Amino acid sequence: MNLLQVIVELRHSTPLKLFSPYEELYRSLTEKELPEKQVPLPGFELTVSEKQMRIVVDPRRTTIVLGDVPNVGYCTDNVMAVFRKINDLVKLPSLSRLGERSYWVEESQLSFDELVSVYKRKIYKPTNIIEESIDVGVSFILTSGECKANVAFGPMELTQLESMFLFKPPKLPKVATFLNIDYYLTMEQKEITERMLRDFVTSGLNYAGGQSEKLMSLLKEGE
Amino acid sequence: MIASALALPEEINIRAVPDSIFSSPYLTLGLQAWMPELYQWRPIERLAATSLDGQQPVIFEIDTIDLPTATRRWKVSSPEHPEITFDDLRTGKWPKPTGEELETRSKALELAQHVHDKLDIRPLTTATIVRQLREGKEGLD
Repeated sequence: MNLLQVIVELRHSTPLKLFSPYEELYRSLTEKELPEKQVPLPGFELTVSEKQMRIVVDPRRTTIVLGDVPNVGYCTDNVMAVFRKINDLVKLPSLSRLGERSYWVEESQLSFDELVSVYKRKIYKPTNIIEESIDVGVSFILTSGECKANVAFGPMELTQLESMFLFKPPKLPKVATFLNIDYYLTMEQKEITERMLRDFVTSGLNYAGGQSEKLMSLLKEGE
Repeated sequence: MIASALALPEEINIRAVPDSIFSSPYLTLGLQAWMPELYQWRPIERLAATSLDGQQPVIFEIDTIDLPTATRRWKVSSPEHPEITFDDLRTGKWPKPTGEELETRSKALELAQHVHDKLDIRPLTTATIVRQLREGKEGLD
């Protein structure tokens, strides 16, 4: 399957200090907490059109969206470069969750109805509800070591496919199998390191690539 | 494809009854509050999808950005294969060996085989090691 979009998100267990300067200042001057919670400053969103990249930094999360992902190395490189730059400016707090969502697409030569039939035959047991259905979608939570993955896939037509992407790919098929894998690791206040992030991004994409191959071989099995 | 709750990005905040008292800026009820049957689709875990959701962020758009990525930091220079780039090697596109390289490899293999035959190198198996330890010598079979 073709990898068309990747989102990497760092969710922080405490807000970035950048967004709560008054609380920080009060705490450092008085060594006490601010009597009333302040509304954190608004987040920051930067869209880089040439690289089809969006960077979102808000009090609780730091996210990168890549709409151009020619290979895993390119993706890891850009994610690391962006997080390194952000971390140089403002130290990223400890993490509560690391997530990597990737979108995969495989063109189908079948019509949409025919592809739905393939799904019904290969994925589900033949019941009267399944027989009557005109569209299907599949969702599982899988585990991979310490990580988990929300895996969702199904047949899609061009109009639905187009709505899935933040940066519209140059060419999308009329009918396709769409796979959405959210690979994630939850933790309690873990300090982030470069090595940890690099390994996570790479292993997440490798895992998703493996799942995409498994899915396609399942759908093509016995054709 | 029917999208389940997990497939929906977190940023999709569906207002079931727009512009009503039930959907004022002070109170936004999610879809599941209005359609409890949707609860059956919820996973055991709390829904916490990877998303790009930002809460009312300040938005900027630019054309380009200069990032110190490995592709720019590393350069591959192979006189035999000037067309090969760092990205090619990283994505597993290894250059095809030239005739000269194939010949050198073949000579190296021949030499290795010759050395192997001359020295009578045999694989060191567990049985051999055990025997050597028991007999206290490095005897050959």
